[in-house]
Amino acid sequence: MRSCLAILPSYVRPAIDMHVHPPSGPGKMKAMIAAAQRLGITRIILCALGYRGMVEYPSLENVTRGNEEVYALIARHRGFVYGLTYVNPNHPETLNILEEGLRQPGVVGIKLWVSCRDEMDRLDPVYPVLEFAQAHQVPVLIHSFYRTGGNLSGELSPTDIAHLAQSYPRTSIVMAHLGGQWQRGVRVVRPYPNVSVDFSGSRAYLGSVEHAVSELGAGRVMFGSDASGRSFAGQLAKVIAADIDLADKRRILWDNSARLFFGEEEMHDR
Amino acid sequence: MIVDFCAYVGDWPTYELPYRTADGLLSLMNRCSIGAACVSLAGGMFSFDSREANERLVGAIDGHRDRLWPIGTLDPTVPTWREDLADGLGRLDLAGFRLHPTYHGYSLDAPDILDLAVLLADAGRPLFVALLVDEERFQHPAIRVPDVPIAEIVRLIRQAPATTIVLNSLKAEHALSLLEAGLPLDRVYLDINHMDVPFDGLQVLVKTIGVNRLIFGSQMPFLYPEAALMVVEHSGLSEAEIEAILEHNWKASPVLAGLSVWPS
Repeated sequence: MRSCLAILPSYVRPAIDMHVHPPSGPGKMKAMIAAAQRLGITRIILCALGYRGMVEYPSLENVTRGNEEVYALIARHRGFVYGLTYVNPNHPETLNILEEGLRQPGVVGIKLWVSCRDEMDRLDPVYPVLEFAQAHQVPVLIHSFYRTGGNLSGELSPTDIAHLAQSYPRTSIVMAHLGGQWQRGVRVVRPYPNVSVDFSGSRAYLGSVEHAVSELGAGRVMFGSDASGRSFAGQLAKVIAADIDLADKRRILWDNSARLFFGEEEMHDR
Repeated sequence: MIVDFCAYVGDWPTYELPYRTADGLLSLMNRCSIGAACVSLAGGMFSFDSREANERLVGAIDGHRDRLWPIGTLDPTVPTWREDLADGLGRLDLAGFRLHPTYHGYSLDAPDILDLAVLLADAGRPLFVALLVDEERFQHPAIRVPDVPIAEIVRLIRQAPATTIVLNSLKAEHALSLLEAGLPLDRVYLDINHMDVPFDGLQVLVKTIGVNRLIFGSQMPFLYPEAALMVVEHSGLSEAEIEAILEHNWKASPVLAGLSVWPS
């Protein structure tokens, strides 16, 4: 006897996974795409965290190589793979990197990870990135955590995200990972309608998606997996299992990402 | 029948667990076609008195023992642990015991651990070891609990070859460590609830270690049980491999298979 989940619910297809990282190793990208497609995912949005490795403050070369890998994967898997341009905002070349990124076909936004503070622990390097995003009307996916034991040196917390959202109310921000400790993180960004959240990258905490929908509304919650670091199935299950309306599940799986990253108001590919 | 080898019932100190009652668990199991679950008391790992915690466990699942199989709490570093073991196996008729070493604050290298393993083997009952419950980065600052070191697991398995050991919430990378250590794994079973790292973690593990050591566990109601199910069913494994993990492997163990006819 297989479980009732052996056949995917029809509402899953299609889905956009808006938080994916390139895998490393021969054949892994092909395997990862196959894994996504088995689950009805029809678009993934890739972003590098540097090149092959997770360096908290990556060098310019590391950032460049990571982005080049993403752009090459977009070209190789056109129509399925899209991308975000990743920057370490401490680099003086950041705005040039973003300009170059937005000229690439298939690039639909910006990614910030854990290099978001300067040597004085200030958020100053991030502000020009958000100004750029506002000017070009592209969303910014920002890693964010309330982390027990203390955040990494340049890792933004939901408190920081709230500050940025208030400072740049016309910039669309996606706060990744529900802000880490999700019971605290989600509520902090509730007052800022320019902030959406994804629930990628953690274990499948029962109630976490319901909590996000209850606090923010389903229109501000997106499906992201954090593959290749996590499985698509374990993350997609959070939506399938969540005790929310089917219409809300569709918003989370497709509509919200389609609108924010692709400017699509109508459902496509159904 | 799908059996969930990693489940909990009851209150958790830092937030209100949904579905934390017996009825709640049964509703999760029904929606996922899970036939039975090996259930421990969520608060048991914070209890100083295992006997009292196990009484609460039995009370919490009263009337549902056909589907909720009680796996007791035990701290083998307290002087009275043998009494607690005897009480659990006798009066309370527990199906096995689950250790949470880092929550109770001891190492699996503690002197009496091997005695406990031998006694459980003699009784024909399994020893469960939870590698973690809550990720360290999400824990309450007043309750900081590290994962169980894999080196301690390796030593336990090596020194207790006759004991049926179920490892809960082991990461795929750590499962590979067990293989590399050249351990006798004939009586060791790994639940799959934490094997979704990386995206193909379970697939790689099956290719490397084989499918026979893997059993289903979800860590409900902390986690959506659908997550572990979907990782098994939609991660590119063959039908035979999926069925082995969900339904067959546990039956190949006389000790775990014995749980399905328990209580007699």
